[in-house]
This record gives sequence, C-alpha cells and structure tokens, in this order.
Amino acid sequence: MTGRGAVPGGGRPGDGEARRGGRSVTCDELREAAPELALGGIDDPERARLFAHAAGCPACQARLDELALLVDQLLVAAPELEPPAGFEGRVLDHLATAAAGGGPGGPGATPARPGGASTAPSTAPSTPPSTVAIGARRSRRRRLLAVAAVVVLLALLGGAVGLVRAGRDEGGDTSQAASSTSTSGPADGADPGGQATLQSISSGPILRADGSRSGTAMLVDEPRPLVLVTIDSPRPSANRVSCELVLPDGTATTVGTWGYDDVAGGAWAVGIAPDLLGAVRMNVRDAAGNIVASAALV
Amino acid sequence: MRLDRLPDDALLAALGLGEPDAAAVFVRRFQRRVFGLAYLITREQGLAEDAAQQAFERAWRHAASFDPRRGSVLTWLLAITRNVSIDLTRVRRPAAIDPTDLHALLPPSAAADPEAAAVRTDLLGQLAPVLDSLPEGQRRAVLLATLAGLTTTEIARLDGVPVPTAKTRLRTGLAKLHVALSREVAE
Repeated sequence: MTGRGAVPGGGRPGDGEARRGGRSVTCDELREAAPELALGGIDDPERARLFAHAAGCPACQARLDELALLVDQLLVAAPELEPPAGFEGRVLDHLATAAAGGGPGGPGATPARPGGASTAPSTAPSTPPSTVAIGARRSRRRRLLAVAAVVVLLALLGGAVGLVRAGRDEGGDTSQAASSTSTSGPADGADPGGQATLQSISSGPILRADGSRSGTAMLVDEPRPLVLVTIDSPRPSANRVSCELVLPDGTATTVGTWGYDDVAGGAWAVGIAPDLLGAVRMNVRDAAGNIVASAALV
Repeated sequence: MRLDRLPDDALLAALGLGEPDAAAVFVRRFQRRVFGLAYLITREQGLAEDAAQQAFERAWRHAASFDPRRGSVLTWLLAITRNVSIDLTRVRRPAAIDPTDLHALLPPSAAADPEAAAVRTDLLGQLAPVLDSLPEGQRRAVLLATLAGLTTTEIARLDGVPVPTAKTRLRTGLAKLHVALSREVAE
C-alpha cells in the first residue's frame, strides 16, 4: 500500500507473510475490506493476506492507494484545537532531546532550539530565558559563591546568554568567566567574594524516586526571575534531563535542559517568566519524559 | 526569506535540514491541527500531547521522505498524527468513548454550521459537498473511522447498530467520496 507506506509509522507488513500458507484473497474480498484496510482497522493475519493480494494485483493496489489518499484528505476536516500552555516549548525540547540522542537520517538534520526562544506559556513576557552553567568548587560554600556569581552575571548580561563557565579559581572571582556570547563578558561589577544578593521566593530539596537527595532547587526573584539548581554530587552521564516548573493549577512548563557538562560545577540556573515564580514543584524529567527527581517548592 | 513566510514544503525541508528556528516555525504553524486530530482520536489531553509530540518528531525525522506528488505537507503530517494517535490509544486506551465528546469534536454538517462548512470546503475541495450530502449514518461512520480512529465495531456500538450495518455505512460513504475524488482528479 504505497500511499500509507510513504507515511512514517504507516508501514505495512511485507507480503511474504501472507504467502506462508493460508487462503488467498479474491479481488471481491479485497474490495469489501478495502475501506477498513485503508483506515487501519484490520489486524494481522487478515491484513497481511489482503496486502499480499494487493501487491500482486495492480487494480486492487490502485484502489487501496486511492482510498489511502482519500482518508488523508479527509483528515483536514479534523478540528483545530489550541494545545495546552507550554506545548510548543515542550515539543521543541522533545525534538532537541531526540536530536541529542541521535538525530534523523540526512545531514545536519537537527532541529536546533531557536536561540533564546521562550519555553514559557504564550502569555509570558517576551524576554527569553537564558541558561548559564558554571563551574564551581566542591565545597558547599564555594558552590554558593559560584551560584551567586551566576546570578550576578545573569543580572548584568541579561537577555539570552550562552553557556558561561566561571574559572576554577580560589575566590570565586568571576573575572575568569568566559562567555560564549559577544556580550561584555565577565561581570566586572561582581563582588570578588561572589556574594550577590539573592531574593529567594521558595526552595526545596530535590529528591530522587528512592527518596535520596540530589540537590536543591530555588526560585529567585531578584536580581531577576530565575530557577537555581544546585547538584550535590554531579555524576558523569551522557543523558540530558529537562527542568519543569509546575504551577498550583497543575500547569507544567519546561524551562530548560541540562546535561552533565552543565552541572559538573554543581549549579545551573535559567531565567524564567515572572509568573512561574508561583511554581509549587520542580520536576526533573529524563528524555523519555519520566520524572527522575522532584522538589516541592515552599 | 523569513521562515514563517515559507510555503509548507519549503519549511518542512528546512526542518529536515536543521535550519535554525525552522522547528519552532513548523510547530507553531501546525500545532493546532496536529493537537486537534490527536485529541479527537485519543480523547485525553495528556495522551494527545504525547501523540502530537511524537508526530512532530516523526515529521522531523522523515522530512526527506515527503513526496509532494502524494499530497500536501498538512495531509502528510496529519496522517502521521493519525497513525501515532491510534497506536498510542491502542496501547494506553483512555476512558470509554463518550459520545457527547465525539459529537462536540466532529465537524458539523453544513446545515448546522454553514460558516465552518465554508472553511472546510476550501480545505476539502470537492469532497466537502459530498461529505455533507451523505446520509447522517454514513457521514458519521466515515468521520468516526477517519478522524476519530474508531473501528467498525466501536462505531456500531456507539451508534447502536449491528456491526455489518456500520461496515456498510462506512463502505458506502467512502465509495461516494471516492467517486468524487476520482472526478476531481480527472478534471
């Protein structure tokens, strides 16, 4: 069935199956069954027998192709429905995750996530979220200093920034930070001690499915709305996970993704739309969409 | 040229080639249709979103296989959506079919909603008046099987008729539409 066979996921079993014994199908029988066959309403082994007949009968094959074309054309009569808030962002993140996992055939076929595109609901302000990853020390104090430096960088650079890694120097001095963007670079105004003012709205421990703690999540209001995640013991992995904020009404918004390289330094942050500051939960999802860790934000 | 002004087939090609921002434009252009069909088949928001996501992924992965001679990008994408949605529904069947839900989602006849019918005519071409002229039983059978992904057994149960009657309604309705399509191709 060439029409349906050209549709990914609409493939049909080879005719070899029907030739392995079983009664052969007549043209009348196929004509009788053709509508249901074109609509995918017939299961194996009957489906295999019918397709096997069509493969050897040009007239029946043509009829099946025409019916498949007809079914496809009727699909445009389906209603248009506004998808849930954040759907576009989740689809794009899904595509980006799929690409990272081993993209499609064909050269360069990677659905690049548009630079700075917001994953927030359509009602969110136009300021795109920004993602900053830092390298920081192992000690909690050093990690907090580096986190504070991240916040300062976000506040100073603003807008969309590329990955930023702070130098692994002793004082958490962000002057070693290297920006992948063309913006002004290191935060000259950063306090060498890295003690930026963080106005936290809510926070909570990030717990894995087994109840063990993997880090802390924090929603920050000042200097700008963002979610900060600290990871206690980052473990090398090829996987990427996505960060999802859940509002009290259950609306979930994916705000970004991270891999090991992003959190190797122990912290990760992304700018968010102000209305997400009311989130009551942060979920960490793997590429398959399963929740692997979660934090109640209070 | 701005991506959002590209015709559908050029945009799909850009998507397949990994053109920056093509994915966002593609999803934005088709998400209402894809989600609408997915929801009609799965009848559950979470399942519909999963199906829609998978449909966009398949479109991205198989962009190079699109053949414009076989139809539009929209019909190709909706066919993918239908396949994915039916597969997901058979694996993760949601609650029993609510006839009220389906009735609300299926496109009404021209008599019931002339304005929507006019829009549908633009999209469906010659098929639209034939669809609207079908006896209600045949029209429902065609739409329930095509758009909602129901089997004839499910249609029979929904409409309270024997399965052979549902099969006949579907076969007859599609045959009439097939004639109209053949006539359109010949013109």
